[in-house]
Amino acid sequence: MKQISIALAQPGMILAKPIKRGSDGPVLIGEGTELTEALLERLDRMGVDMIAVRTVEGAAEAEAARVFKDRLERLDHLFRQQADDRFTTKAKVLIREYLKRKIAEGEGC
Amino acid sequence: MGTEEHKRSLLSIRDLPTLPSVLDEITRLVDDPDSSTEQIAHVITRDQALSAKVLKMVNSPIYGFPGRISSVHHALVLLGLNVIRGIIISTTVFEMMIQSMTGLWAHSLGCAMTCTTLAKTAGLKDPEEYAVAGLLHDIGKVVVAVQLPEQVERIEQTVAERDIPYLSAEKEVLGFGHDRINGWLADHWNLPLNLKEGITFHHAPAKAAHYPRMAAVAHLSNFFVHFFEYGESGYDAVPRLESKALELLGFTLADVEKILDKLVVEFDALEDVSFS
Repeated sequence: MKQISIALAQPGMILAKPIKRGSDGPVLIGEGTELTEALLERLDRMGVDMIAVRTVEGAAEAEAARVFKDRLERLDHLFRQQADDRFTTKAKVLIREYLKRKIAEGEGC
Repeated sequence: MGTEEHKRSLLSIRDLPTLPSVLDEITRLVDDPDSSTEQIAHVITRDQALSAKVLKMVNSPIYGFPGRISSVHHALVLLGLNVIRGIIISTTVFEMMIQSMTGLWAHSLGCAMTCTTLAKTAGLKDPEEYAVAGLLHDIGKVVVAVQLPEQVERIEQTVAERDIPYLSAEKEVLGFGHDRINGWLADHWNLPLNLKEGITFHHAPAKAAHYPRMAAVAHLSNFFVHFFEYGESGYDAVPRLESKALELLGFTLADVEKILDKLVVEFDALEDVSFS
């Protein structure tokens, strides 16, 4: 997802976060709503200036995050024959760090 | 049966997967200095099913061309004869087994795609030629399944009961592994030497005398495909990673990260393609 100015918002984009009245108020427009011309005008009248929209990469990121978590869970099983091989074990350690970092990065955005 | 008999029954020409006669015709044309790529393309195009398969493969994420390749002739010009030949051989051989061995076919496609990625990342010339080694690196397993089906059961049983790699089980049951079978098949089918070495030494790339980089690409691809568990090779564990394979391609362990970055995206794209 990314935060964009309402001026850059286009019909067809999908809200990645709900729009609320105030910071803690009731939800006015739900997450996942597709933006339309009419809705954008309404947001503009309401004085909303920044909105969070889903990005196409967002979908790819979610898929990648699932793959990273899945691979991390399978890592010990997949390397079970190579415990005695120093080089392959070095690769395993590096891959484990890589996967953990990718998962952490994914959760950060 | 002993090792020698196993080898003999494997290579008994009578039952060995026969390759389309198109390939013989192509070989003749290639040897003829007066022939053109148009003529070669024409020979392939006569077989509509085969042309369709070739075009499907060359337009898949395995080769990663941005535009659509719409004719066999265009494919030949872009990818070269060795690539097209490899595609014809692998689709033909796997076709006989596609019902029972869809997992191995998927594993081979994943390996082919990874070969292209690695060859491009390493900056090798003609990266698409490496994909053929990926497609064919386990072809020996297919031929064992065709020629010695009862031995495949014993191999699979050995793997399951003792949790040992498929290659080790093959050596116990047959007296040799699919890597050696690949070498015999390469001779039998007159495959080019780079491809022969690529598929024969994908478990031991340093042993390839002339084309160690082809073997190194196949070796690393096999490792990564096992890591992603794309398709099924017969054993769910990564093979030993040879440091020499990385070295041969000018990679260090640190490069594994950038390779994984690319492969995560590409395997996702490959999932969406159906080859059956």
